[in-house]
Amino acid sequence: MLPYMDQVLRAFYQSTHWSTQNSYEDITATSRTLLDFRIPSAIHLQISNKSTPNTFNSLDFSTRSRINGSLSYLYSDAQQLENFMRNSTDIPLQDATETYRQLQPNLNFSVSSGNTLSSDNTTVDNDKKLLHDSKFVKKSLYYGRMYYPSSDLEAMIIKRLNPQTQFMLKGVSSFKESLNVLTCYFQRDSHRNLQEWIFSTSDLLCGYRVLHNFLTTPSKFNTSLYNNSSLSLGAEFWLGLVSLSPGCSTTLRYYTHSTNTGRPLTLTLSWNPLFGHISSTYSAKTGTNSTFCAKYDFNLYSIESNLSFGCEFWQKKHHLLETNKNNNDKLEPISDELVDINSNSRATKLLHENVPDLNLAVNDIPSTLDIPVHKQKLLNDLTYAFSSSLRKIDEERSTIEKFDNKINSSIFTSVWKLSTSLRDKTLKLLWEGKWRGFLISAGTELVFTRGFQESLSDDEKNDNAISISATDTENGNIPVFPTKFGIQFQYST
Amino acid sequence: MSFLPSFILSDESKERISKILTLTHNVAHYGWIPFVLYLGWAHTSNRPNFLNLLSPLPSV
Repeated sequence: MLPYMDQVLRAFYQSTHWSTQNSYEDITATSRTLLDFRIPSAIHLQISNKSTPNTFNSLDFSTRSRINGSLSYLYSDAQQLENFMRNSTDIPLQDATETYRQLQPNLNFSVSSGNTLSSDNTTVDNDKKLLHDSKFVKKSLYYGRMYYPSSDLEAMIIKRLNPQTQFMLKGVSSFKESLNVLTCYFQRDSHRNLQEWIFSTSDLLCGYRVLHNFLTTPSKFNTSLYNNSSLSLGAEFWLGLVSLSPGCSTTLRYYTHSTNTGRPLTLTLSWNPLFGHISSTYSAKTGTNSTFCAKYDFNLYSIESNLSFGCEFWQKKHHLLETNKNNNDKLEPISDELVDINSNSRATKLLHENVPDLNLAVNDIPSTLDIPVHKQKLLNDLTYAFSSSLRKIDEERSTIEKFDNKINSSIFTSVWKLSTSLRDKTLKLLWEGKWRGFLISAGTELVFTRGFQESLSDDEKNDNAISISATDTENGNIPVFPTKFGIQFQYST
Repeated sequence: MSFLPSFILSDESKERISKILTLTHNVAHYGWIPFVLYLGWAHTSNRPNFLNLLSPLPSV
């Protein structure tokens, strides 16, 4: 489950129109959430509360060998932050947990079409956005978290300086371990690329991250007039000034939708030239209630490789009834996707309708222009070809939107997450769901030992085979034991 | 302050600076959360009870 403060942070980004999908840090977020999801390792309870519309606090409590936890406070002056926040009873499960990250293709499609359609709603939206940009008010977020009993402190400040830039300061302070680290981030998002400059006091680390989006405008080829995909290339460079240790990596991400079913899929390819590590992932949302991911790692120097698989199975309650859809209007700002889909659908309706009907226009024009018959025929053919290809785009687009809407309008009650790695011989199992206003996640991580080969099929059949002591495992009797087991409860108002 | 050569600062000044740094660190460490709470209190129009801001438990 997403911690409460992460939900507030997400709401802050949404209310200040900051997109996180362009961040290089999150370029492999989809495969990371599907494969490396966090398993709670103890009994964990989180109670959170919105004390005023702009202040949020949270109490964490966990029993791991002894009782410990943390207290966090957050203040933000962002307006209408409460509209983007939900308590644990109302929040949809797909918003409360990390899952397949749907990207909004970074194309200026609606903008360009909006310019041509003077009476279009998108124009109004764009104007509003521009107005918003010109009247941008600096927004900030202050966050502090104190752990007990160790009294370590985590602090963060985020300042949205203007629509394109953001400054972030993160700090960790601990007297016990005499650890004091401050890290500053300066991020600049110009829609087409996001650049990030980072400086940390630990080892005087300097970093630069960049992510560039290709395919920002629709292709001119007939076959792909509707550009439903995005191609991004990112890189990061690090240098520790004290130890002079460098670091770098580069990643390519391709995100697209299946044109027939409208289901999204993500491909990434990462390369770390210093360590010779290549990693490729393929993630696909195969239906409204299932997601699959595969990852292949390969090291050029040690010739070691690893294959990981992950999947998610969502359990649905039922679809929203037509009558309930009216209630959705006021909830609109909650999810960015919903808003974007709605604005897209407005453009969709108008795309092919926008084509001027030359049959009608031509009837009026001949008196003034006197177009020869063969030219008129050519013009008509052109219009027909143009409008039919636009129709094709609309169909493709509506398939994708239909699929997205189906996910967004579903009420999910729980999700099973599974992930396994062949080389590490581990199986992670996590259940997340809602129960009486509580968000619960419970999971375990199983490690296969010597008898792995013989018993694999049995264990696959019975995923819940847990709880065998490690001493038995050493004898070779039982091939699997849990390294982690925990349950987490979250309640927020 | 050991990274500075001895001829730049005398031992007393080094000690004084490190004391000031420790004090600043202490103030920042323990003052940060009260500062966040104060910001929340000062920017809320009805000036809520400080205990309400402090308590993470849902208020009735």
